[in-house]
Amino acid sequence: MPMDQKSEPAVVGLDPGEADADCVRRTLAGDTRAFDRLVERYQRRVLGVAYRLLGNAQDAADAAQEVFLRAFRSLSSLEEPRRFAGWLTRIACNLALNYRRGRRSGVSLSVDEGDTGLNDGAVPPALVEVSHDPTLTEEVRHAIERAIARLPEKQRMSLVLFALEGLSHKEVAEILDCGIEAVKWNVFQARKKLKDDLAEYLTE
Amino acid sequence: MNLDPTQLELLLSQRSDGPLSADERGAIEQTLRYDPRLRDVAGRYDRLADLLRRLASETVTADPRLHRRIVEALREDVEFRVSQSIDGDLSDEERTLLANQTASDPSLARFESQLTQTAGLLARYAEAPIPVDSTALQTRIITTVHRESLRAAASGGRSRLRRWTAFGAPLAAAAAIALAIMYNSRTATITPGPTPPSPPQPTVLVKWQTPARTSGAISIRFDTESTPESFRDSAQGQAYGIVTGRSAPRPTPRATARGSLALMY
Repeated sequence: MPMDQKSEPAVVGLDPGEADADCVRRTLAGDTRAFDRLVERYQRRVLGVAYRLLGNAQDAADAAQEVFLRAFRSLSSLEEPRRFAGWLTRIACNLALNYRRGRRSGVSLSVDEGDTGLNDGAVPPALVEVSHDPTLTEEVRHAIERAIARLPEKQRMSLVLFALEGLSHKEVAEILDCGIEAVKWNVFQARKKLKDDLAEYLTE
Repeated sequence: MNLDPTQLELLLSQRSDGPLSADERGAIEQTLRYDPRLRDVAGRYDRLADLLRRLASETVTADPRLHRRIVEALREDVEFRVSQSIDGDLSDEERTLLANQTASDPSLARFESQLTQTAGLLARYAEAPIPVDSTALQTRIITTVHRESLRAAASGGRSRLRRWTAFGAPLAAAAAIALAIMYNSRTATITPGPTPPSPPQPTVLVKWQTPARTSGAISIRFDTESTPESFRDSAQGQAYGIVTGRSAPRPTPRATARGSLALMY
């Protein structure tokens, strides 16, 4: 089943921050299954960020696994459990960017197959053929991905988190540790560059 | 008209501007006629006034690059508001102003149209599914995290064992040795035990310290080979530990065993 968009399940009775905090506390108390809830809740976002920043499904799946593993390992360092989502997204951004930088120099993700059990029966990251939005041709999709990849880092991150992942300016600002106006400006600059890069697909 | 030098110079400086009265001008001209030094000063003021008049008549021309930068900045500010408009960040007044600007500027209207189309393409791209099997990926992530959890727990256990091996075991060994020596030499201090067995057996008090915040077991094995024959059958006993820590002392009666004792702490 390919990833649907915006599929983070709502938590009945608790606001998302409090529900996350509850899962974080339970995980730290030894209930690893509580972390499963966090994986279910944020897998799509983490994968989305990784995919948009890396432009490759296989790398994005590896990155998503590594993000959750790192989050699990350093969960005790999260000072405000209510802010788990932003903290996790920041890990995803940093990891994807580091991987992207490292990819140019041949460095791979630090996913240890021995740890992940990929060699002994664990489910490998299954890539599937999906039918994309018919109005968005493969050519346009690839053109968008190439244009996004060419953006400067801050503009790319702002655009991905705001325009593609649907986070608010405030959330993006917190994740990127900058001001809201800076996020708006970066989104604008990114759009403007994309407008020029995608000019052949736009009408006058 | 008697004038001191300061008043004279002031009048000279005003001479070219024309604000002098007829009396002042007459006095100045009369003085200049007889004083070459003052004529020199007056000549300088005249040249200065001329320079200032010419400077004032020059047209100021702006740096074309600066002009272009200002125009571009203003244009970019309007374009930024177009982007904000797409995101619904403008107030009603700002939107009205932008609409008026767009209506009167075809290039801005084209920019707005194309930026809106770009945002639309991005929205459609965002809706496109990511080609990854979500169920398989979720299983993979959860499996990995659970393995990590187990590994961390095992690692924690090994860590405790290492601490035990490093600190507890030597102390326990020392205690056991002391116990065996005291038992065998029968020089142990005999103190009243909780329930003195019959026949009376030696009660050995051994004091040792365990590492803080650790748990473990101390196994004490009697050296039956070197135990005197008369004691061999009674080589059993009960271990009592008095745990004195930060909390109040508490007795911890533990195992009774023939030939060996174990004390948990």
